Amino acid sequence: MAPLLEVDHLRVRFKTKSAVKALIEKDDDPYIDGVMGVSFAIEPGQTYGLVGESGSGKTTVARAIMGLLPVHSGAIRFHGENLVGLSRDRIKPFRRDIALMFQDPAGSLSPRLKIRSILAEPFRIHDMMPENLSVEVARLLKMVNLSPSMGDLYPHQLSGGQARRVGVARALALSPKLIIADEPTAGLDVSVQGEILNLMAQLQNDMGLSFLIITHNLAVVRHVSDHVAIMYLGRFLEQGPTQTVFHRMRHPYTQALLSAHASPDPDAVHHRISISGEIPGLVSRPRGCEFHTRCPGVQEKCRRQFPDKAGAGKDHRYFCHYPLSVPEN
Amino acid sequence: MAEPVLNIRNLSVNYFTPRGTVQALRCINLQVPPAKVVGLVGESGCGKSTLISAVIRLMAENARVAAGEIRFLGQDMHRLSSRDLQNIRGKDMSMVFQDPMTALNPVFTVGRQMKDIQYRDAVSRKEKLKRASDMLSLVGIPDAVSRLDNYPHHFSGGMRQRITIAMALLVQPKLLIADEPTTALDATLEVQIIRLLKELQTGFQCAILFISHHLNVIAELCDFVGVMYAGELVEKGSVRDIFHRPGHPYTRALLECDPSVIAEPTRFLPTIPGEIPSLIDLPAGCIFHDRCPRAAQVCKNTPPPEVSLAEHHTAACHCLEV
Amino acid sequence: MNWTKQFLFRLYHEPMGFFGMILVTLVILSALFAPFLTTHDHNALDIANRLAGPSAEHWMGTDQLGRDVFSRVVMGSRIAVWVALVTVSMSLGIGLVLGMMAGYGPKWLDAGLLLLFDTLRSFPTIMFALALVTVFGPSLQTVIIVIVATTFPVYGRMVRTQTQALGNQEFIVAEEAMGAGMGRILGIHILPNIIGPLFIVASMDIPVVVTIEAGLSFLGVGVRPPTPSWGSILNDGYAYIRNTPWIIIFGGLPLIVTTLGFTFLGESLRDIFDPKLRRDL
Ligand SMILES: Nc1ncnc2c1ncn2[C@@H]1O[C@H](COP(=O)(O)OP(=O)(O)OP(=O)(O)O)[C@@H](O)[C@H]1O
Ligand SMILES: Nc1ncnc2c1ncn2[C@@H]1O[C@H](COP(=O)(O)OP(=O)(O)O)[C@@H](O)[C@H]1O
Ligand code: SF4
Ligand code: SF4
Ligand SMILES: [Mg+2]
Ligand SMILES: [Mg+2]
Repeated sequence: MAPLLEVDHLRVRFKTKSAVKALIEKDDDPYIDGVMGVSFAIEPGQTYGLVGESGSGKTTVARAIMGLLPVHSGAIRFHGENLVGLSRDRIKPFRRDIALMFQDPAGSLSPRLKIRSILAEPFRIHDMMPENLSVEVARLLKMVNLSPSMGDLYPHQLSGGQARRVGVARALALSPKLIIADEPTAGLDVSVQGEILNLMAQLQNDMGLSFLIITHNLAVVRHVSDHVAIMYLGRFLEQGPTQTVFHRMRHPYTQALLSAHASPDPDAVHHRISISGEIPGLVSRPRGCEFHTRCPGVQEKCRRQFPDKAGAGKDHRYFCHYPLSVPEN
Repeated sequence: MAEPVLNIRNLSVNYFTPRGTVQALRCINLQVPPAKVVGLVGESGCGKSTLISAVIRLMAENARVAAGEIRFLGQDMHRLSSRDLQNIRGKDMSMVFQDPMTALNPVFTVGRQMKDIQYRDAVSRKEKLKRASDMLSLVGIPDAVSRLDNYPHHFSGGMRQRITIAMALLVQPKLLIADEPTTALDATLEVQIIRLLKELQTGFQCAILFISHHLNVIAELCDFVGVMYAGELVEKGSVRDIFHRPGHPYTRALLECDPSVIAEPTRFLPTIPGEIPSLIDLPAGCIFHDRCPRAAQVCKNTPPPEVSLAEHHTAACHCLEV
Repeated sequence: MNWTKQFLFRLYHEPMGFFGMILVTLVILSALFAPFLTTHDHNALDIANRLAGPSAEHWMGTDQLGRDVFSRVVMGSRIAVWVALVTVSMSLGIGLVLGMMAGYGPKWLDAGLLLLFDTLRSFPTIMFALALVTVFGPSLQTVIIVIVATTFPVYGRMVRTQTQALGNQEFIVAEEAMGAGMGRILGIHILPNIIGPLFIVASMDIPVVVTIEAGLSFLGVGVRPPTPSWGSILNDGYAYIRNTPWIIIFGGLPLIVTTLGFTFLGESLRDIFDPKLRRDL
């Protein structure tokens, strides 16, 4: 099957200082790499999970796909058509097919508009007013299990879970093919979190939607995504089918991340792989393998040379000179 | 139990709004023993932050304590003069909040801020800075001495959170209050913070009141756990009682919802159907009855009594198997 | 409307604001119904009765030409309120449009507009007024131009800062992600979020404008005689301050009432809309 979305060596750079300041300080490269050449593909009807610590560049990937940030190099193909470099007018039709759900549920809803008007926005922007707007709004609210009377409220009158649902409803308004969900469960307690994730799974079943889910909650990713990528300092250190990455990981960072995750049991014995130290800043990106400052298995070569991409079976990719051995089974 | 550091008795807090009176907390009884960690869990909006604001007496201006008292080291927090209160806050009691950036002043260096909070102590500037850098090393910040000259934005999110913890501990409090201190962090940093809190708690013998949505963090860090629902403390007990022998139907439902306990990957996760009731028009009977799988007729009319299940373990429910 | 009810509920708990509101209402009523409130024709001369003290006939006495001070003060409130409303709303309008363009538009536009704001703001009002008067002669228009030109940059800068702050918030990015254009984003999503605090600042600016207008008229570079501006009433009274102080007193009183009224109201509005308290509104 042809992938719905294909991201190919995407690179996003941010300027760190003004041109004048860079000239004065004789800095010939006043940039940092927010995203450093990531590639992945999402098939129709599938969910791709993006995991990484805060500041690793997850949101930046999402915003680049939406055309909200300038792309330095690489390609973003949706249904085979490259979106990179398209003008605002040319990209507008694609905004109907790709919808974004934001990290901060209430903060992404315009505070002075009623929910009803917020849900009407996508139709207004794309000049696709349905014949009966209030019926349409009620339909959207019903789809996310909210009562139509919610349409009369303002965003600040909603609870976190309800605001999230409105975000889902708005994303669904124009029947997109792909929804990018940035931290869809951050700040929610476990019961509300389950409701939102179930709602998303339900919609995927009913409408054949694809999802790109961004999160740092590994327990969530394990359940909801078909593929997963582990991101660190703007790179995908390891990516592949969820089961493979969780049970046959090859990258030391993946292992550390997974072992950090405890189960909610006061008597659990933790076998944590200790990784110490801080995530290095993007400005002082380490040479060689970027994880070497914290890697328990670091060797001399890691400090000098960035590892080549290695593969292990179908779709499973990682960057490491000394990958972990796989348990035989 | 030894004389508790913090003793909350029959506390009720209301918010007055034009829509009506929000009964945000009702009859809360909670004790924090010395040098123990007490965790609070519960659905969003159940009143955890309200409880903390009442404890530190920094409430929203439309909030009132309707009943009950809060005793900290034997003193009634809501009867203290504002001077005594200031002496307590930031000395015997200190706080760590969810967002580390708002707790640090962006225009002063970290060293300056760490020095300033020791203004009560009559020691030299040099001594204060030394204490500050020692505390920074203790929370695991490398090159502590030189980093005192850095501004907050020079640190990453995890480091900033550790700095706020360092500042909170610098005054050697008897009680540390932490409202979701790890929500903004990912799993590896969260582990580091938890370890740090645990070590410091044993080292400094300070009690901790801890709020988090992450049940695994609560399980690992806390000695006692309180479960809140819609403004009531529905169950409390030792961490093992709560996680291994939960009594209240809400606690059970909450624990079952945690995706990390479900071994087989599944697309559909368990939830608690229904919604939290309005805190303006409270339902009669048990606050949880419209969502409770075990609700009986009596639950709809009569508020449940608090039942003791084991030592320190109580739950408010009609249908407990004692 | 629900919102109004909550607003009044709040205001009711702010005694100063309530008091301010009463003063403001008085001034505005007097401006609206000035012709019905006056006891005499405000320009009618009565030389025989010049510089008379307060009496049953002339409640605030008469001035050097025998005109009724009370009637002049009442009519003066028209000028004051009119000038204040016109200038403040013009400044607000210009400041809003330019400020939003600077805050949301491209960098070069921002830089250009900032330069304009800062240049205009650096002129001292009085010098600017005197310069304009030498060119165009004293008139009400001059007063308005001077005040607008020196106050809109203040609004412009405020609006720019607020627009920039909002522009980075997720709900604006969400609109961009859906493909909304600049007009839609500024008009529907940014404007309603910045207008409230601006109105508060504007209400606190009204007394300032009233005083500037009075000041310019007092200096003789504003409203021309015989139009009864509070400034010119003060100017008239100033010459006779020793023997007949009531002209200055009664001419100054409305200035004080207006200033206090709008300031109290503005300050409590600010307190009411303080984001910290907004949560339950
Ligand atoms: N200033 C206020 N005025 C009116 N109601 C308020 C106010 N502050 C909080 N509330 C209400 O009180 C209840 C408890 O709120 P609180 O912030 O304590 O919840 P919480 O348990 O900390 O939730 P979360 O997990 O989302 O942080 C909620 O219903 C909330 O809407
Ligand atoms: N507009 C920007 N200018 C400069 N740096 C940015 C910008 N946006 C994001 N960054 C930086 O890029 C990195 C990745 O950010 P982000 O994608 O938001 O991370 P995540 O979503 O994984 O938490 C961070 O270090 C962040 O500070
Ligand atoms: S390349 Fe070296 S430093 Fe990098 S992850 Fe592999 S072993 Fe660790
Ligand atoms: S009292 Fe009844 S409704 Fe309430 S929790 Fe117990 S069983 Fe459920
Ligand atoms: Mg993010
Ligand atoms: Mg809270």
